[in-house]
Amino acid sequence: MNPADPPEIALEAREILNDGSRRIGYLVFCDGALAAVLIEVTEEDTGAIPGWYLEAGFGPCSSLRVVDPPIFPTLEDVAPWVVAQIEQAMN
Amino acid sequence: MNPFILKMERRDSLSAEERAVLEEAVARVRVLGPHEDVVREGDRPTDSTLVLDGVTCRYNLLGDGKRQITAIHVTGDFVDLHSFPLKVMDHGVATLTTCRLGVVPHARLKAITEQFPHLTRVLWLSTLMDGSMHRQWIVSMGRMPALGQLAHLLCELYLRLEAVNEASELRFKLPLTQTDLADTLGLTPVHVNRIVQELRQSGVVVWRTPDVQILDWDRLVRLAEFDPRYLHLHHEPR
Repeated sequence: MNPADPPEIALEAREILNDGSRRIGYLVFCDGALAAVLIEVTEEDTGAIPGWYLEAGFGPCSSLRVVDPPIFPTLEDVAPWVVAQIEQAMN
Repeated sequence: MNPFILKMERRDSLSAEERAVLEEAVARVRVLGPHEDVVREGDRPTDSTLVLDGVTCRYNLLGDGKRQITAIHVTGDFVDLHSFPLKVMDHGVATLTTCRLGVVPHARLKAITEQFPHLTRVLWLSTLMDGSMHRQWIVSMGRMPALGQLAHLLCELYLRLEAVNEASELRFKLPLTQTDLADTLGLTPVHVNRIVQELRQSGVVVWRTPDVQILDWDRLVRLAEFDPRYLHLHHEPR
């Protein structure tokens, strides 16, 4: 792979345990490596907008770098954020 | 009666003269609505503020507008006694609810420290207690799981409110929003919501904002690893 190429971000749906229930979530892969786990959140969960909450992140997406885990309004918002995190980590 | 007297008389005896001096220290009463600034970081106040009624917080703002609440102050707390010797505020103080605040001019505090050595120690004790709470919060937020952190805050606020007759029979008012709680515990609103649900569902508390009823104190204490020593609630000569 050319280092200048943008990484390939892929999402894979999974059920995720969430305090006594199961919720829909996504594993987020960056060039095949696990980068983040998202969980679906409702308006009631967030006190604001529903969406996809960064439940766990790894490497450039980890809690060591991300103080306030974002809530992505749509799944389309995930890849640009992961790429931005990776670019920020390299700079 | 000025509730600061009530708070400190839990910890030490005050003479009639000392009580009168503290009553007269309040020059005027200020009423503020919820989420208003009492003092801002960088201000150089000439008065200190005593909470006569209501809930306030100390906070710091981060560059991107995020807020960390570093202390919650309730009825009877002398929120910015610090500003008298520190001069310039290194943090802000804001109301979380409608508050009645007693304004105590620094000139009166200066007179107290010059004329009443025991009362000066009592004021010192009040700021030392603020420090002991900050230490406990660091321990709790640095090393406890989120559920334990919230449990710890509930134990602490109940005992502090009980000490100024604002809570009894394991019931108290916690008029904080989930955002306020998130900013206090350094968590996201999503996680605060989850742990509140967990405390409710496990039958430890009944929580209908602002009313909190603790159903299982012992379990809450275990979850929080709560030891009230740092609140210095015992009575002895200081």
